[in-house]
Amino acid sequence: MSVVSGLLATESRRVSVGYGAALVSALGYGAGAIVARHIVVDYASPMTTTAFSLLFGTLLVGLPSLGHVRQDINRAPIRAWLFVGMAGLTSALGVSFFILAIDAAPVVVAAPVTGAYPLVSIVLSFFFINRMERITWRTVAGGLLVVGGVTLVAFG
Amino acid sequence: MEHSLGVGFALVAALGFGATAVLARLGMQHVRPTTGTAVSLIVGAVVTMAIAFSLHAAEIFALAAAAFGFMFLNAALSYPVGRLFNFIGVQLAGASRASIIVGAAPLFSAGLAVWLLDEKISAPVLAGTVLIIIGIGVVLSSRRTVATDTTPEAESDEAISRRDQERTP
Repeated sequence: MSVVSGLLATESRRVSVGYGAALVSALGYGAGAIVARHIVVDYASPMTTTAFSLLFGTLLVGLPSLGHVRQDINRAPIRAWLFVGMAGLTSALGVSFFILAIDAAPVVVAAPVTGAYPLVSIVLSFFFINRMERITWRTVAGGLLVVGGVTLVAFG
Repeated sequence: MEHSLGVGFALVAALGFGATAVLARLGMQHVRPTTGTAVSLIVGAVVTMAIAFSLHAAEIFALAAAAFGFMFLNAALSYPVGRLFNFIGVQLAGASRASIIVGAAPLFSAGLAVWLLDEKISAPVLAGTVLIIIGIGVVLSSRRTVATDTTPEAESDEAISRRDQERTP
């Protein structure tokens, strides 16, 4: 615990740990996508794959987190639960509409459009949580470069 | 017509994924990333299971055991690693910056496909890789852009407002 506290002692360190976590997340999602592609090619539809993966994910994350959930129930306001619940809803909406999109348009068109979601996060952050985080030119430039790169990877 | 409908769906998907990080950031002012991840997964699982059973019930009841094994593997990579670390990144680095880095996941997919599946790397993938790495480098070069303490124990909205008022000359 003290190691974690030490790591997060300053804003700079906290942000660095956050960047590291985001990179690990990208690696996890990237590896998961390869397994998911194997499933939808050989076994099941994308919607079924997503639904059961989410179910297993709920068990894998939820069971070890029960202690944290119990503690947070006692101290977190209702709106915090609404926000994280809505985050689950919007994520499920994203997955469902992405599946509809690749059914209605070529993947090389749908994937880059969906891949532009970091720009949506930047815009929404600017309008709704600018009190919590600043949007700098580096954020916008980095977002544009990554979205451009993802578009090229999708075409490749 | 069908093509533009697909683009419309893709835009809604982008809106959904983009909003997820911002909503998670707001919720995780008061709950831990583990709690936020678990709650978001429960909601997502309920919604997608309802859709999947309404559209593909016959397919689900006929699924092979191996399919469930691969789905479990996909879940293990995408949620305890992908989403939990995404939410930790959102809480510590901010929704916009974490989303940009997590948005580079296709780069890792491409890299793993080349490494593990012997897929060939094409010129667009190579060019895209360079752009993504530069983009992430630009984002990572920024260290002091999160405006507040974001630990779950930390600040309520009232405390943030109070502090902002104190800072105002």
